[in-house]
Amino acid sequence: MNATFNIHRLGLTISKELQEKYLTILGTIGIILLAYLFIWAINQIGGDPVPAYSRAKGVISILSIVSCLAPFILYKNENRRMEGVFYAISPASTLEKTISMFVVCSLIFPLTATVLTLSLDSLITLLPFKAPYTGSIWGSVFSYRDYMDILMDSSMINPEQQGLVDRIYSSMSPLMISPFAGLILGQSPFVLLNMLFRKNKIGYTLLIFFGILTIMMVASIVSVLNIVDTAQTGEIPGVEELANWIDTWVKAWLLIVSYILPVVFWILTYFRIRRIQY
Amino acid sequence: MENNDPIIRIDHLKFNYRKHIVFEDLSLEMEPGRIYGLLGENGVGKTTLLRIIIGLLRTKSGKCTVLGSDSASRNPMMLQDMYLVPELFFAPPISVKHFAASNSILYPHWDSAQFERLCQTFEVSTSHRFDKLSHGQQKKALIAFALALNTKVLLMDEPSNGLDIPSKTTLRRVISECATEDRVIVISTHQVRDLENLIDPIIILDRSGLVINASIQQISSKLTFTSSQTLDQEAYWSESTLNGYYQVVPNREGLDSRVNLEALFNAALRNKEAFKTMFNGK
Repeated sequence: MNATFNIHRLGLTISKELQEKYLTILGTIGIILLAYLFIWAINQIGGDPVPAYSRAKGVISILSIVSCLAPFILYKNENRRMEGVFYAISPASTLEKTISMFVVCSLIFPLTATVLTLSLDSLITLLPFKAPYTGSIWGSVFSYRDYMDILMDSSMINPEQQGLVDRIYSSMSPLMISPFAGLILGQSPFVLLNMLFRKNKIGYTLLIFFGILTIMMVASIVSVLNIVDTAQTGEIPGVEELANWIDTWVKAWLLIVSYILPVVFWILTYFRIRRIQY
Repeated sequence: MENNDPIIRIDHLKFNYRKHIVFEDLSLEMEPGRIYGLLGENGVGKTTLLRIIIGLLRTKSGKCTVLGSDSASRNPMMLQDMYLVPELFFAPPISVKHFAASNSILYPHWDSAQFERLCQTFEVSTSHRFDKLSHGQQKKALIAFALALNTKVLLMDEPSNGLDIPSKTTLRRVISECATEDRVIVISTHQVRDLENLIDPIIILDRSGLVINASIQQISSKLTFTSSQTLDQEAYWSESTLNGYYQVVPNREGLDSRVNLEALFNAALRNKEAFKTMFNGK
């Protein structure tokens, strides 16, 4: 039997982790559904119909937050000296443990949470209440095109800006991912940080994100100052040039954030599991 | 691998926690069919050694090989044939039965009927939630689970801690029943009296490494554990009693005597160099 990877052993590892965590998974999803019902109840007070785009944005926001928290909920003990011993000595390879974590935390949990939340939403749309839920939001969660369409419809873009938005949107399209895939890929840094920190996991994670945010804000301010400097010298770029510039940077950013970074984070998680001592 | 080939080999092991050196040059081997008793004062590295053997800690230099694999690699084939009962552990908020069902899934020699039997022997209800059991009950449940896994290597860190007196008796009986010819059991303990008549060979560690690694037979061939009214001038260790002295003396006449582990431990700590030369040839 291969010591690095064996499909039968992987199946058993996933089964073991699901047996250990299914109550936590269902409990967390239960809280999401209750939160969604609570939001629905609040909407009933206003009495206005709730359109699909605002519900889609709401559902994706809730699911994004919960997906980011999922590693801290489902795998909070696995790297701890006392609590993590049984995980560390369980007879599965590091690769199998990493894949199992991906399957449970990034596939099964978000998929179950998404399907059940959308099912609840669909159920509510069928019921004749004071503030009806109109239209289906399934497409907006699983297709980036549907999501972007409702986002564009709901935003205030004037006809002059529309051309630029269309241009960038069509050039970015091949790189874009659905909001659901975004949940999965966006979770990867949280998985890594959860395995990296043994204590105060969420606190340290927030600290790191605030740190990164501060660096990005400083970088943005420096960029804006540079642009102002350039504008003062009279070299103002044309719309086409600006569109090209945005196009290149947005594409590069999308490529890095959506595809490269998640892979890097999962590789780092693998090495963390491999090297961790208890 | 032949039947009596060592399952665990530790070769010139060096380990430290930052500036605190735990092992400088430790070498030892453990063979199947035996129940090793790992003794030593607080902080000499008994728990650390068990953790290195199962791959939870990595050696700084030297090597620890279990069933032919480097323990630090945490090779799944190696891990499926070994288990550790830690002194302190996290009991999950699920029933004992559920814990056993999910955690045994990757161990090929798991015997659920044996687990049920052992739990009955220990008087632990498998339907109770693990985290709601008392510390002693949790420990018994975990020991029953560990024994029913039927791994070739079973490491136990202070297994008798937290157990009541009848449970300690049951523990001795159950461990001796589960000890098979192809299995090595290593028990680290402070409670030498709890496991007397069970552990053989004896390994005594101190801060400089190994003081004794010898079978009970080897120990009794070299030492006599005796009570007498006069104090032997060559006694390695003695204790005043109502009838005179209880002492550990060299076995000059080749007499058989029952090895008293507590007395042996005290004698070894007072005469480390002499015992190292006597038992390890160093």
